Amino acid sequence: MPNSSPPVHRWRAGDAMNALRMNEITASLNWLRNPPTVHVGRTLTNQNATTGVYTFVSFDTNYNSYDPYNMWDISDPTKVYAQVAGWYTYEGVLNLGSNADDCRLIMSVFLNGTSTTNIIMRWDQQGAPSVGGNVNMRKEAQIFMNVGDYLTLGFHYNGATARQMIANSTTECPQLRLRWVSN
Amino acid sequence: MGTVPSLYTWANGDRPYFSEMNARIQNTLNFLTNPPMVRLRKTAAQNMISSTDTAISWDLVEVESENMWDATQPTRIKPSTPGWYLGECGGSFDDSATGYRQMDVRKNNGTDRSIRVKSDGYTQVGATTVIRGVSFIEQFNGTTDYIEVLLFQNSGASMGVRTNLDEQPSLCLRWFAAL
Repeated sequence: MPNSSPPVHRWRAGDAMNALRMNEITASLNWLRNPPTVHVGRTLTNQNATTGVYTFVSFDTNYNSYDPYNMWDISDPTKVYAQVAGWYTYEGVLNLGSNADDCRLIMSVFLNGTSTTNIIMRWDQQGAPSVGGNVNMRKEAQIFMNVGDYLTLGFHYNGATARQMIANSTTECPQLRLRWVSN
Repeated sequence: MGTVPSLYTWANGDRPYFSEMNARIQNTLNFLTNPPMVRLRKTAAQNMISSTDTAISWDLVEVESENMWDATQPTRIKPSTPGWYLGECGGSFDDSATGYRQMDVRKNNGTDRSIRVKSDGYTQVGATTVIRGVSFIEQFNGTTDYIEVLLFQNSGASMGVRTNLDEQPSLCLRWFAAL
């Protein structure tokens, strides 16, 4: 797979309209139709989280086994890499076990590190819902990534009672989705 | 006003010059791979009076591929190319256990909202509220249409937005389709 978006040829006087030039157009259209995309999740087992610190989701599933640009590897399960530079949309999802603790839950997406200065998107939510059941968070944002940059999905809470990230199903579980949108 | 490149319908016998190839194909591909976008942040402190909608006064342009934001009207984002835009925004609030928090995206200062989200205050001392990553779509005419992001809190006292890097209000708009 290419590691950059196909160049768009600027036509000049005398340029031959040959197969090479016309296939460059095809390459650009094909790119726009199938940009680098990956969707990963933790669907198999729950993951424990520790209060007061960020826990990073260790993904175990590549949805539809679709990862033509090799953006995620099971051997490095917390990270999703950009293999092509550009602007990306990304969506983070958490599914958390609830309890009666009146505390704050945080979902954050990190770029290239685990410090709070690496956070590029953050969403806070009440930890004790009035009706029992899991707490879902799903947020989307955009970021520019260079080749080799990576995202991780972190969960933080400040309650006394231990919490887990819950793998209920392929739809109700921690997830991270990344898609190239422009140069 | 910016323009979206038009599409050409080919006819039998067409023998395009190089300039016509650029106008009919290259310009459109270039536009689609580099659509108009803006990305803003609020880095300096801003106060919010209780029970009053406060428009975020943006002060940092991270990206602006064409004219969308003007420092003389810092709360407004006015795309200059007509079309549908994918937006994403976020706000933040100092800590308080009282009341709820709210964020609106409002178009042309009217009563219609593109989105509204609500959140909570927290009882722990120092537990601030951050609500980022809220996505929406909106259409703009490229001339007069604009949006603002408004924050609301009803704690009973004045409250500020957060200025730490991971808590700063932010907004991103990107063109994705023609009207």
